[in-house]
Amino acid sequence: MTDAAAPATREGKVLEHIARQLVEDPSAVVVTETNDRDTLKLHLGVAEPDVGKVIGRGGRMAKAVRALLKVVATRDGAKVDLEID
Amino acid sequence: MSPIRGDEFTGRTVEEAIERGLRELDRRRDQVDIEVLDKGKPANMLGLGGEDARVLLSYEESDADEQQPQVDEAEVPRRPGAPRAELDEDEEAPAAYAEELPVGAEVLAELLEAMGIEAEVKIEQIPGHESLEVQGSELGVLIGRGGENLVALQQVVSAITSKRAGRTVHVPVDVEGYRRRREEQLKEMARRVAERVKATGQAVTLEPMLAYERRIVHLAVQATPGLRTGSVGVEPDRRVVISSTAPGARGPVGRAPLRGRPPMRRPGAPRRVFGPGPSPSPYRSRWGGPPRSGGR
Repeated sequence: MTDAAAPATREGKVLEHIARQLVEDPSAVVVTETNDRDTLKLHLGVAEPDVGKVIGRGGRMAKAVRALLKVVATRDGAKVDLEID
Repeated sequence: MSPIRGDEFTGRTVEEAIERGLRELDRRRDQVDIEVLDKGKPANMLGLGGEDARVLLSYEESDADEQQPQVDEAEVPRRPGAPRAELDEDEEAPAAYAEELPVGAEVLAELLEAMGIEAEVKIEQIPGHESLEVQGSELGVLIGRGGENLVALQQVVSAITSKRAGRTVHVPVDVEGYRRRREEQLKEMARRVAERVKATGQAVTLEPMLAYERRIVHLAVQATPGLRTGSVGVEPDRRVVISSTAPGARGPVGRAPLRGRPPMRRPGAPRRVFGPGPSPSPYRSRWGGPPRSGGR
C-alpha cells in the first residue's frame, strides 16, 4: 500500500470522508489502516492546525467519530481502534 | 447558608456506622445531624444473618468539601424563551434554520451512504422543531444504547454542516422518531416524579441520562413551583435530582426506575446524597445497603 492510496476498508473510508470535511486542508488528511488480529487500527493524520478540529473540545468530536466507526465495524463483525495525531 | 449534604454510612452497629461516617467526613458529632436508617441485626453464633446498620449524616457543606455538583454546560437550561432549548445539547450553536437544513440533509445522506447504511433522509418542517429524520429498516444500531450513537451522528453532521454553511449551526437529527418518543417519555416521567416529590417532600435521584435528556427533565420540572432540580455524579453516571424547596423537605434516597442498574457500592462507602435537611423521622431507602448476608 502506498502512502497516497485511498483507504481500503469501509471504516477507513468513513473516517476519511468525515475528516476531509472538518478540516481546512483536506489534502493533508491521511488515513492508514493496519490489522491487529480482529481489530482494525485506523490512524488519522491531519495538518497541524487542523488537529483540534478533528478532536474537538474535550475530545467530543473524536468520541463521536469513534462511535460512528464502531457502528460500521459492528456490522462487519470487527473491532476498530482510532488514533489521531 | 451553605447547602446541606447528607451521606450514608454503614457499620456492624449504629455506633460503628456513625463513627465511620464522622471519620470520613472529618467532623465532630455536634456538627452533623444523625438519622438512623436501619439499626441492623447482629449476626448469629455462626456469623450469619447479620444486617449492617445504616445511618445518614447530614451536615452543612463548607467550601473545602469536594464533590460539589459541577455545572454541566451542555445541560444548563437556556434563558427562558430561547427557542428549542430542550433539543439543543450543543452549547452555543444556534439551531439550523430553513436555509441550512437542506445542507444538513445532504451531509447526513452522504455520511450514511459512506457508512453503507441504506436510509432516507427527510426534512421535518415542524415550526420550532425543524429537524432531519432518518427513515429505513434496521436502524437501531444508528440509535445505539440510550441514543448515544444518535448523539454522535448529530454532532458530526452539525460540525460538517457548520463548516459548509460558514457559521456554527446545530442540526437536530432523529432516527425513526426515537428522539421524539424518548422526549415524550422523559417529560411524562419527570411530571410523574415531580408530583411525587411535591406530595411527599422526598427528593428523588433519577437514573443516569445523557446531557440532552437531563436538560429535558430540568425544563419539564422547572414548570412546577416549589421544586428544583440539580445533577450529581460524573458522566456517564450523571443523574438528575428532583427535590422540594418546601421546609422540612428531605434529601434523595430512592430512585425512580427508568433504566440501568443500581450502581455497586462497597459496604461502608458513603453514598452521596444531596438535598436539604435531615428528615424528621426514620425511613428506609428503596435501595438499601449491601446485599443481605445469610444463605450461603
